[in-house]
Amino acid sequence: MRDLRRFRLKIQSERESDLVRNAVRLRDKRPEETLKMMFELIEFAVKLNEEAQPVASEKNHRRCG
Amino acid sequence: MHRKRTIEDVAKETARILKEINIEYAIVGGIAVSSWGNVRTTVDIDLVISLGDEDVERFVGAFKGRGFSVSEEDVRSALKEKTHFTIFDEYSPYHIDAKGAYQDRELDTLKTKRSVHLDDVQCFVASPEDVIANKLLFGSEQDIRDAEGVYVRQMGKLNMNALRNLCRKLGVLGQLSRLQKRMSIYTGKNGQGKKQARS
Repeated sequence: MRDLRRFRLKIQSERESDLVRNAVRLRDKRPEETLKMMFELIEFAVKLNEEAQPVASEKNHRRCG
Repeated sequence: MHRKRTIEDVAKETARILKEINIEYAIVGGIAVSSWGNVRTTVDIDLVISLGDEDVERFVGAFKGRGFSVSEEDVRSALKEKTHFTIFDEYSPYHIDAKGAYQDRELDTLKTKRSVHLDDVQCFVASPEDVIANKLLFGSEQDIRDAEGVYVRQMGKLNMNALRNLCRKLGVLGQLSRLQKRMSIYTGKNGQGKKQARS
């Protein structure tokens, strides 16, 4: 129980430091630049999802068949 | 769907339409967060708009004429009940969630909005101070992370008086102090950095 609490605190602290590191890296960027980064990230996620779907349905087909 | 629009296309088209019909707005939510804080994904465009009952017909007509789907009845009912309504893009899975400027909080968002240019399109986005204060008000884990990201990225550029006043008005001054305390471990009081964020 104690270990679990310590583990969660460690994860929380690592997440916080990742968040700060990312925000510090963006300090010199203009809003227009980070908006473009966001749009690219979204399009990448959409493409990844589209590519992953045929693979997933093929696997399901094999499992069911 | 006949062709595909990216979320950037949807954001730009929204800004163009609202400019053409002369409706004041500010983009809030994920797009505002990515403008001022850490970059993250979203599937919608959140708007605060200054929309009166007399504007609804031309507002709905303008969006419908540009490949969006929105019901006039939904918009009128949202304005009456002071809730939000959704505009769906017919060419993509993205949608626009819009809310009228019903209270001081939303009027402040419009008053302090900032201009951001996406290529040749001018868009209005909620100010970083407004994003932080509202995110602290909403208070989910994601909201707090968003507020922290904006605070750290904009450190030294924020109008701290405006931020404190806004937080006081929204009743989240304590949350702001706690955020500043948490972040000062990494940034120091002047943003000089005490503890190195892991790289």
